Amino acid sequence: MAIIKETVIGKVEVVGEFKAVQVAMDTLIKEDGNLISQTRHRHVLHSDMDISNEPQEVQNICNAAWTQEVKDAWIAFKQEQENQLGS
Amino acid sequence: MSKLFVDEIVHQSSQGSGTITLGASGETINIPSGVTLTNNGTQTGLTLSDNILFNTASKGIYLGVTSATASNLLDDYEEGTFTPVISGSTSGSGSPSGGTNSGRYTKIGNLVYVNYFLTNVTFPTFTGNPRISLPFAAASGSHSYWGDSTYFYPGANWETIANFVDIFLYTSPGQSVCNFKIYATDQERQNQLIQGTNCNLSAQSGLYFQSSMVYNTN
Repeated sequence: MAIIKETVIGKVEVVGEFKAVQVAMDTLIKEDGNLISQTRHRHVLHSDMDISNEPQEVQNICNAAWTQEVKDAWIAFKQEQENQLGS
Repeated sequence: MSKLFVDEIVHQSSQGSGTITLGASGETINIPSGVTLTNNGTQTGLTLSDNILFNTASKGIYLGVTSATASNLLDDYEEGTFTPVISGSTSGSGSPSGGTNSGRYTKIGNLVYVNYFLTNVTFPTFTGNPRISLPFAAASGSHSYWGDSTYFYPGANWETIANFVDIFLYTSPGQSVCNFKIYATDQERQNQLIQGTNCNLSAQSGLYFQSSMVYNTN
């Protein structure tokens, strides 16, 4: 009887005008190859974030979605929101 | 391929209460588009003995209508965890360390419920306004979202202003972080926490924070 724990990419979604990349990582517990437990862990990536620690598959999706135009638009949008929020 | 033309199929022994098997495990029973399944008996509804699983992602169920209406389609449900990340508007980012730094969420359609549970943690070093991460980006558009009141400790770190009342979470459209809005007596709730001005959280230990937030996604 072998119990194995593995983490796999569950879902990657590119959403919104600024191409936020929503990443779901699934932790699978398997006994003799049969799935007995599964949990999901999420995080969101924006175009101004460091993605060097992400899986290569996620990095590829980010790099494809985050054109310079998208990056510039996100920075401008963030600055606009900062101005609206005040201090 | 052969066809069977009948008006009714009834179990041979019980005439109505027995089990009729269609196909075998792994096979596909194809119901053509436009077919309506009805219940002509005295019982209402349809009883299934197991979960429903679609063979295509993002498919769902239209609730409360008799035609396919986008606003009535429930096509997503998800529950899970995330690791809250604290970041500063000017610089600095990281996951609180030490004690418990836990986030849970449940997503129903485009509605996300988030719960933060941070106990006895050390915040990362940051400057500017502190923010805390969300598991999904907020919907783009014009709506912003306010969270519930918060539990925090110790006050000496979380608020260093006179007439302090409370701290609320706030997120803007398109963002995947919450800001901390601070409320003091006779003040509008416009002001944010600012490291070194009205709070002292950067690189501080023994911090507690618990709250929840409901918002829409795309």
